[in-house]
Amino acid sequence: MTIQKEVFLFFIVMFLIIVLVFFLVFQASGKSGGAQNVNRKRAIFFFIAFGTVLLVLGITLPKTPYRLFAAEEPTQKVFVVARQFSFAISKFPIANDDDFSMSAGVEITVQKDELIEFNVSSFDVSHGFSLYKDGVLKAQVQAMPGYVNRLRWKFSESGTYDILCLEYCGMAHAAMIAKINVE
Amino acid sequence: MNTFDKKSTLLWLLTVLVVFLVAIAFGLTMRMEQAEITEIGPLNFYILMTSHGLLMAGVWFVAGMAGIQFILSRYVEVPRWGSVFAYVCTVLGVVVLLISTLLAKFHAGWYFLYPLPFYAKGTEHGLLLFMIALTILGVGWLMWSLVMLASILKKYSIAQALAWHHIAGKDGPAVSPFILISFVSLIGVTACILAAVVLLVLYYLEFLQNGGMTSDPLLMKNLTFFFGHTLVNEMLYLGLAVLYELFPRMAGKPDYKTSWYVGISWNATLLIVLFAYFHHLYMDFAQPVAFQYIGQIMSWFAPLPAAVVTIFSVLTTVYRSNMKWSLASLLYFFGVMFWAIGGVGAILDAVIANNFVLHNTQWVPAHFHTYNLLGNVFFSLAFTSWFADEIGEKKIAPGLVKVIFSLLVVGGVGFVLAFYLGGALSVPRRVDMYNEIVSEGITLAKLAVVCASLYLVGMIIYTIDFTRRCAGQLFS
Repeated sequence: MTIQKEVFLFFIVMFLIIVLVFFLVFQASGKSGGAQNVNRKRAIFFFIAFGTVLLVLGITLPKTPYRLFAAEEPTQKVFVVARQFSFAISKFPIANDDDFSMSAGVEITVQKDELIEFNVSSFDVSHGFSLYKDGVLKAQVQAMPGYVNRLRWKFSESGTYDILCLEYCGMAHAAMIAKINVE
Repeated sequence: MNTFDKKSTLLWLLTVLVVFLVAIAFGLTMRMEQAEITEIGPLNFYILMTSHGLLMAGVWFVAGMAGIQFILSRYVEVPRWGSVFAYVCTVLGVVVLLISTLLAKFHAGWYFLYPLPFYAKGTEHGLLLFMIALTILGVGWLMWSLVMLASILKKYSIAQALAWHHIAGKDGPAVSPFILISFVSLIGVTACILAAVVLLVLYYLEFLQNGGMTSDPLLMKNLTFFFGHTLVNEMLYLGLAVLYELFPRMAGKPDYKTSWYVGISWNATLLIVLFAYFHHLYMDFAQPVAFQYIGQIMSWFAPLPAAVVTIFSVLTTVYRSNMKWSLASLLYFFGVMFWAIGGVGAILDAVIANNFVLHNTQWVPAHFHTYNLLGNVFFSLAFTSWFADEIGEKKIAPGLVKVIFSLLVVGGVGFVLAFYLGGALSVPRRVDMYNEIVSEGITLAKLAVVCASLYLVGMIIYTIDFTRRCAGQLFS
């Protein structure tokens, strides 16, 4: 199951729990008596919520994409430059318009399971560089003018990956697509 | 209630309802385009997207302003000119905004991410008009915030308005949660509008120098989201401040008091919410990594004080309360429920590891539509309904309460569910059409069109009924 679907299922469970709690309280609104031991229950509620936040932070913060494969040396650098409304992708640096023209629309091929460092930038506005396999978003990073965002990634499946721009960049944003081959 | 407060609040609320209907129609048209029902083309789609975003953010901020101003006048003297000035600026700003988008074809998005506005094709004067619109709105809202803060400070010191004496257990005037939350929110609003001022000045300089100077894109993005994220959060809190004032009375319970934990909660919220915006920049790996971690930590702690205290208070207020349910109390109670649900969607996205595969997918509009469309909007509609009950000569029919509430809930839930499913299926946000890679988006957009139409019908009925009951008071 994808991370997205796991998150969705967790969300639906939380959705149902919250709805159930509110529904039960709503049902009880017609009865008399009032809530008892409110301060004690509030304290318990707070400490459970506080503990949950600490637990989630402890589990998830070490799993950020900034430290992906940090202990390894990349075997391949791939340079990506975005410009309205196309990507130039190359194994060689893309420094100017000529470099961009030579690489735009060219599909490069990389090896499965090799560590790649994508060096992602933009020549005009902010774009998004995202890797899709069979319609599922696997990884992404922003492409910002004046900055190079470095994303380390290993492709775990062979085949063609679609690259979509995920940051709104103008009228033809939805058509800004490229491909990369993994063998 | 004096005549000026009544008429000015009524005018604010009628304006909000009309603009909201227009903004829903824009959003519905966008979903119809994505569902391949219409063919308006990408330029018109992004024009509507830009208009829809800013109108929605603006209109519900303004609704919060109307509620705050009305209730605040119970506690302190609020200068009338502040209200009139803000209203004139808001209407003028919205008119110029619509000219900039619908006529001058500005389409760089409501958050106008630098440097896209300078590259947006097909618009000659759109950027200048858009900047002028934001300037007018910014001046009006900043002045309003400062006037409200000054009004509170005429009666309370800063320490008192922040309830520090309640936290310390010392003597002092009883500060209601309404005053505390309003004061905290107004400080946040002022801070984020000041960030927008810096942002706009940098835009004006670059515009006037015709590219002779440029700004740092990362700095501009930080300013943009400090402004946008904080504004949207604070507008929710403005609605909550009014809830704290009105909801216990609807349940026949004593007014909420500012206890030490309520004081600590909202003081903590004041600080935490200012740093949560970093989560908008998780996928900018060039941003200092420490900021990214601060973003996740603050995003997870942000809901803790305000939400835990508010949700718990609302639940215990309703539990065994003999509440007489009205449209206002239903909207408050279930608005809090959807606010909590939207909050869960938001903090799941605020986990950096999740954001890696959710950022700029439909998961983002899913959660912010949940706590806006079904949360913040419900809070403001609850105030509007309560206000109509207070001043209206006619009562709403009980059957109509059920019809309106059902349409808003069924339509709203179905609408956001289509977005959540889109997020789960990696469907991107902010695209005018779905290519074959993410073609599930088309079916989901069709579901959204049906549900948004139900919500729109509910809002049309609500607006007609509110106008029928109250509009005559404007001229009485």
